Amino acid sequence: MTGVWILVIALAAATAFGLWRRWSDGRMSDAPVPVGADEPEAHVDTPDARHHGGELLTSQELGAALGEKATFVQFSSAFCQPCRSTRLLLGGIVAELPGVAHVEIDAEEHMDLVRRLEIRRTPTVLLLDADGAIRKRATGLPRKSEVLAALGQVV
Amino acid sequence: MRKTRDVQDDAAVVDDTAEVEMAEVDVTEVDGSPGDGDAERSGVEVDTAEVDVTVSEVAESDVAEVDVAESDVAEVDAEADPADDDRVAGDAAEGGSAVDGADVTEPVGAGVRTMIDPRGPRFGAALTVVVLAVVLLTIPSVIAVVLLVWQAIAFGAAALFGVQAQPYGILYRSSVAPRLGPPTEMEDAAPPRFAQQVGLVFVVVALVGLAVGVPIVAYIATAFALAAAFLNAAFNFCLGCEIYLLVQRFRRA
Repeated sequence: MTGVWILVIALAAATAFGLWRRWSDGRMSDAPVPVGADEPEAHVDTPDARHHGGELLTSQELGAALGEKATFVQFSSAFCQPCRSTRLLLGGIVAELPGVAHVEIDAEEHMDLVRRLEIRRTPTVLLLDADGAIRKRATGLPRKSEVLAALGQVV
Repeated sequence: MRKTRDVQDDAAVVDDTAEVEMAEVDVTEVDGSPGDGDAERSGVEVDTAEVDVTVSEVAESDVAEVDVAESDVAEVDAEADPADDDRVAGDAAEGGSAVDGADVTEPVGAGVRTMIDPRGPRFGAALTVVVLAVVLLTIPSVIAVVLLVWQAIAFGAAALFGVQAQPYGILYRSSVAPRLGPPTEMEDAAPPRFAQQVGLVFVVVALVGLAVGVPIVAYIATAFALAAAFLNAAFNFCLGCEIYLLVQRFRRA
């Protein structure tokens, strides 16, 4: 009888998790504001860290030039199913929009950024504005409509 | 477009010699053809539409295997921004193997990766759910042990030799795929393979639990493996894959 209960619990938990993921994945939400004055983290103290309420990323940190108007920063990893689709989606969008760049980052090689930005899953996509401030964020394969809407708000 | 032609030529050869009857071919063959490097280095843009065409054409010869990854590589090449190194490194890592000593800045090395029909791993995950459900219902018994050992062999085959060696994958290609028609997209084989390795760990833990007479360990480990397999089968979520980044985070903390 124990087995029956464990089976039911496992299936129910997995279903709940799956439904939640399906609902939340790919949504572009406003980037959290980690730079509040009441947050005593080290990186907050740098003068540049406050801008539009979002944390700033520089081309140096990313190892790539930022777009003039906006930049998609995609964190990927070796074992990541939706990273390829994400790359194709964002690559396609960027190709049609001058001034908008797509930077893909291997999370493993940028553990400093991964921890600082609290990247927990790949793909995680950040949308930076022209100044490099993080404005939007999505985990999982982003939805194209949401990506375009977010871009409209940022550019 | 040279790239596409290469792929088709290779597929044709494969078809002629009837070497491959299953829906998967090791991309290494395709990539290994001479001249690939030139095409990639010249930054040929292979768009997805084109690759899709190739997929359907090739699929008719029952070889539903096309190196879609080449379009990625071409993209990487087309954009000469400093992020190239990162991307290529990422791509190479996704390949999971066979990049031996290749310069990661060379897309040639990064192109070596196996692409598979994504429905294969999902089918396998569904069978895994069934097997592990029976295990949960029969713990502690000989049946549970036998099924866990079988599942460990299945996971182990994928972990050691790649997902094509997975018994459920073989069953899928031989019995299921022919009835489904060609896949609309292909996926990298590295993530599901990693997930199978994670699954292997859980199944082995369950077996150890039974061996030392602590069935609750077997229950919990089996339940986790079952939940992950169910998520894969029902929602196409690769839970095992997500563990990867978390493990990396903690390991290098």
